[in-house]
Amino acid sequence: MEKKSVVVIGAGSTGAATIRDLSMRGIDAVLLERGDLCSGTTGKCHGMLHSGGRYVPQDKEGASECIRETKVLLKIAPHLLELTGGMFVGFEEDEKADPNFKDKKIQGCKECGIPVEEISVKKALEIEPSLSPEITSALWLPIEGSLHEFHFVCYMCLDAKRHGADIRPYNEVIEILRDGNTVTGVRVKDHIKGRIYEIRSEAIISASGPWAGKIAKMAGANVPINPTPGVMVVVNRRVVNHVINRLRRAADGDIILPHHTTSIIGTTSWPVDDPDKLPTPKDHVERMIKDGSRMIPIVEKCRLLRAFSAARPLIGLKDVPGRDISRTFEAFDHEKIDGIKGFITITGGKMCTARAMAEAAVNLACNKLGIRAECTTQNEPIIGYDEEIDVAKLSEEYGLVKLYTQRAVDRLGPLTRRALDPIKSAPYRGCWLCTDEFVTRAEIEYAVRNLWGHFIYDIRRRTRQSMGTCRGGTCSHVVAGIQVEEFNWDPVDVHADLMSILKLRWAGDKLLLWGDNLRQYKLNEAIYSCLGNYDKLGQNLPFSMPVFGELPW
Amino acid sequence: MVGKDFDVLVIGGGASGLLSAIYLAKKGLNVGLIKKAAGATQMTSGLFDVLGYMNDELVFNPIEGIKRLTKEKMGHPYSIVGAENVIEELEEATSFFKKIVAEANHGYEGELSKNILAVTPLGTYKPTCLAPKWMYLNVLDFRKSKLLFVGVRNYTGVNPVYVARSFNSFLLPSLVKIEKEVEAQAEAIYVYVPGLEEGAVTSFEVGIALDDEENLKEFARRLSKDAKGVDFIFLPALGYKKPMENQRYLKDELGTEVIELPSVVPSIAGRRLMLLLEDAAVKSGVKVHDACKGLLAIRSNGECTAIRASYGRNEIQMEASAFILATGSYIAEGLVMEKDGVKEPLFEIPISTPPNETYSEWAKKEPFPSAGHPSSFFGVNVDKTMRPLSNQKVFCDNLFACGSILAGYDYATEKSGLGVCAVTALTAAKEAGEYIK
Amino acid sequence: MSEITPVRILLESDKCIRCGNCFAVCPVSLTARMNKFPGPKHIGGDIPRPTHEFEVNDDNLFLCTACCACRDVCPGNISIEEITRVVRSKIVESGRFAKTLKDALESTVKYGNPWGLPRSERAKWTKGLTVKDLSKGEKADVLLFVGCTNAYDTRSQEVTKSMAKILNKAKVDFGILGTDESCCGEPVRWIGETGLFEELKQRNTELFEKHGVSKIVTMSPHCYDTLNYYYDLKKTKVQHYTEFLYELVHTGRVKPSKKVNMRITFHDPCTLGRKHKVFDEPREILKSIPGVDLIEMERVRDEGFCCGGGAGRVWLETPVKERLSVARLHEASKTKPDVVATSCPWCLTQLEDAVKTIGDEHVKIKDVAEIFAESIE
Repeated sequence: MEKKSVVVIGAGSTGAATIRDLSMRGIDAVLLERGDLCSGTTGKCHGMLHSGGRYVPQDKEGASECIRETKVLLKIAPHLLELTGGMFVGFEEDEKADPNFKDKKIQGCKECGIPVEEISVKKALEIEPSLSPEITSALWLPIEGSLHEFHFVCYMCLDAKRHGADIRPYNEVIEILRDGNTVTGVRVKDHIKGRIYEIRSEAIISASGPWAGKIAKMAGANVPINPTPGVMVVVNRRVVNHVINRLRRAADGDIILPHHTTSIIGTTSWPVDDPDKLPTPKDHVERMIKDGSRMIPIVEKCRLLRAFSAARPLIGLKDVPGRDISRTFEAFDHEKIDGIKGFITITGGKMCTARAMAEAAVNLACNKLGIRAECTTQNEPIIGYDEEIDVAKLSEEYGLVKLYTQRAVDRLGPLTRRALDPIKSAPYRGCWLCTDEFVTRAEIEYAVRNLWGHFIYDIRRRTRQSMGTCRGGTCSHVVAGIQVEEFNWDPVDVHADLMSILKLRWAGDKLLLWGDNLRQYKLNEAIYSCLGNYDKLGQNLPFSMPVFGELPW
Repeated sequence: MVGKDFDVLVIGGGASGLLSAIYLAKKGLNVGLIKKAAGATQMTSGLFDVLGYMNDELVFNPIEGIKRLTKEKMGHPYSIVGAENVIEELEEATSFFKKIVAEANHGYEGELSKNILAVTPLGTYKPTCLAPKWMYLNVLDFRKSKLLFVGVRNYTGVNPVYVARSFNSFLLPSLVKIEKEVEAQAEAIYVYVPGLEEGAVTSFEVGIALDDEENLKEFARRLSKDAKGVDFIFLPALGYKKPMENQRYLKDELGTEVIELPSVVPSIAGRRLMLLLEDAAVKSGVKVHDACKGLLAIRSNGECTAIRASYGRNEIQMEASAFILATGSYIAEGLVMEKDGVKEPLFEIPISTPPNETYSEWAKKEPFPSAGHPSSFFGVNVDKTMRPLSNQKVFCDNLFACGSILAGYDYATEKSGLGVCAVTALTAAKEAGEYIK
Repeated sequence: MSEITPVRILLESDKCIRCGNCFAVCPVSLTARMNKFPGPKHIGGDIPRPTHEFEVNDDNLFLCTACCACRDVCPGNISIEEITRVVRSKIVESGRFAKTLKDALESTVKYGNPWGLPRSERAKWTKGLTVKDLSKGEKADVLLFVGCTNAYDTRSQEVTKSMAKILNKAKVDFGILGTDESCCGEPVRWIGETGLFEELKQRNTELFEKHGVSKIVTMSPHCYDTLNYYYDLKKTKVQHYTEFLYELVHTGRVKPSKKVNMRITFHDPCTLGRKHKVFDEPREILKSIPGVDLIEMERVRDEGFCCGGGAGRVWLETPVKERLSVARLHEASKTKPDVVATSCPWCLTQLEDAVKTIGDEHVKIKDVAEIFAESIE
């Protein structure tokens, strides 16, 4: 019978930060996640490094939390983020709607300790040339940027592992075991090995985001969680190099920010009952495009890659509109609230407050376990901090063109050297899979061996393979080949997995299936249908990954 | 550069455009052809599909399959060419194609009455009808056959271990269901191509390297040990311009059959086919204009009189008595899918667009549905003389269309690509020829 | 054609569907290989997307010769060579590019030519010849725009002298701008120094207007391309000398009479041939010369393989096994020619260099004008 001190449920940013904190305090813990790491809300968020300016003036508590934690992240994870700075830009119609808003924003920021500066329209256009020349006001916020969500989660898990933690993606908690009103452990289904097993634990921390309600119910507890998704649209290029916000009361389509080689426009907001049933409404997509191009006119001419949605974990009363709910986080001690011992929920918040959320949850857990261990995560840098990344040096060492090395570093972060190292003894591992994103074989293998990548879709998250314009067309079958050759997958399973990833890509692509996206689809059709004959041979292949709720297409 | 007069101007330089142009030029007409770039033909795998599936069922005899098709699918180009004589037309078109290819010292093998199942570099199989001599192999013919899939270590496009293992565990069981006697065992090895041991290589580099005698000799030497006792060796690329000679050489040296796998994109076989057809066109007297993009069709009194096109840095106007529109489907923008419907950009022939419901319908379907994606079925509707129709009336008396621009079929799930191109090309050419008389 | 702005160009990359048609034909991908060069598929489709990392390409993007083979096979008609140029201009802004290219740019600023030679020597090649000089107040119907290489390079000067001889024989009323002529700006534009290009364009345009020039004939296809397309010369007709000479021969104004006895294969300069579709004129000129046996090599006309000199590459050091000119010469040699003929100073330079590299004693590289001049009395 397996025993752990703490079980953490959910490997999003909160869960990863929690297991890291637990392990750094020497507590024996395991992280259980039903899907891949970062496959929940964190994997589909905006990827924003927040100053909190967005929540001013309506949610000063949330805003203060943000700026506090963002400053910590700048200290412990500068290597996992891009500090681009950001702007709030306003138009005539915004000023008409609320002439005092700008001042309220500036005042509020100052109160929360968020650095802000009003700049001239001319300066704004100099900083970000693609801004609409019709803007009438602009604020500059230096502490804005993008946090690479996948790196963030993955690196925290690596750190946790380094400190002795056990990371288990594709292990779904199907039951929370109780002895009366005390939680005693979990029953888990391992989706990869196909077995069911149990873990005894003294405490359980549910870090399951919008699924917190579902998990809590398993323990006989309650969390007032309102899953509130929003739609985001991905533009096929980096149209901005800074985070651009709309200077008006938080509404839809207010943000566009750079994300690797793309830009993301977001977002909308509507409440749902079940975070596993998220249709992406077509009119939301169209609205995003319209709103995004108001701020950045060229968006209208750009190719859009895909649209997606994921549920925000908003805590609060059901009848309060999503936009008005505070974005603060909350740690629920279910012993106090529901009388259930040994069960904690940590939810709400944002990706950039994950560390603070973890601290709160682990403090609570320590109390319950009677352990005295100080939190050190506010000072200890996340793994990779010391890695020196000199693109020129790395590329010379591994015989790669600088461009390819730069891209590898963008994708894998500072631990790229570890990924590329096998190239020295086996040069063929330095071969790129396709001449699109130039992902090397070494990176794919690293993603599987060291970063818990299992299905091709997981590998995609880690290496950004298939995230580009090709939509997985030319490269996915190459990854499939590596799965068979290097990791001994059964070819039948690989064919199923290949079809599954193409279906998942399709879920995002089909919403924008015109123009060049349709042409792209036609090329992929030529490869997989006409040549590969998968339209016939793939009919009876099962979906390879565990499905929760609806199939996404 | 001055605009020239032609009997027939073909717009589009893919398989159907080139075949119709060659046909008319060989009949002695003054033929011009304009192409803006390379399109889908350059991406084909090398295989010549005629009809692989009819309603999800594997077709073993395309002739029989097409006979059924013309009874069930009236809007299909095969049916439009003529239920009565489509088989004859296809025979003529495929013989014509084979002849042209043979003249260029390339050979295509196969018979219209028989489909083969070809193994693909994705570890699957597909039905096809004709194939280059060095690709023509029916996996259903394997009897206790030993197969060796050879990969180039630093070429990531084809993974021989994947294909071999897939053959053994994924393909073989379903092949045996079709043909009980099929028996084969596949293995895989990796080699390096002489001269290309460093860095990563593309299939084109592999092909070009193997066209060199010295390299080919050394390559054969590297394969010789593993080739012993093997019945079929599969390579990702047999050569660029000399695949047939290279195949012969390797067979002699190694004592086994050597087969080139159908190409995955970027396709070496597709580029070969393009160059070959273009060359044949030029040799037949077709005036081919490369990088020449049709901008505007000039019409008067129900007839097209000229095409204005960009050529190099200038614009030219080309007059002809008849025009063949072979601009292809979406990939090279012969058809354009906009938010409000499908458009044909040059002549602005109205394409029947489905009502809004179908858009949301196809958003629900999987990416590669067995019946084909709705977008494939849109295109230019033609009558049996290959004249485009607009609201069921002939759009323009001297305009004909052929190839993948046509409506009513899906080459990807039917496996009917080059077959439709070839037969509609010849039909359009003949009709254009008739019109000129 | 409408204005080529950086934004419009970079947006073209959205059309890329990653089909790979382009790198099947890229001469740089096939010789320098993608271990050094990201290939047109990447340049055309991907590099324009992340606008913050252009500088990472400072070690490879200058390998493109702007031969346009890629653009001509792209189903989306993407101007890949223009994307290269726009990205280069960003790299140039950061200053991280080859010293030899910097020298060429500086020399153009100082002397009006990229070769580092003083302006005063620009017309030295005319010594002993009858050539009108517009800068000295003379007037002529046709302006022969010599170009920097044809003016300064000793080998190319032979070609220019041949041209002068031909024009005089044909009694064409032509003149040159002499030491007033500045670089047309082509290498500057391709290297990415757009500001300097605009200056040169303005300077030359003013000169053309000052002298009332209505017809220009260029020696180099690159000057031809630049003046025709990147300048806004509305009232002036610009031709490459092969087009002009073809007209002269066709109308009987000059007739080659001496037999030259050469087996010739013609190498199509990319900018003249593929870009401007001038394929027939140089061939017709050669065929009009008695004793010429014209044989075509394998990749000609639209399928021509680049010599490797364009877009500034003449100034870059290239390892032997990556030299396009060497690959091209091998191909040309298969036709067993006496002479490989061409009509571009870069091609001439590159192919002659290849001859020296390979050490082939038998084949000579000649410009069409030289061969023609040999045949007139």
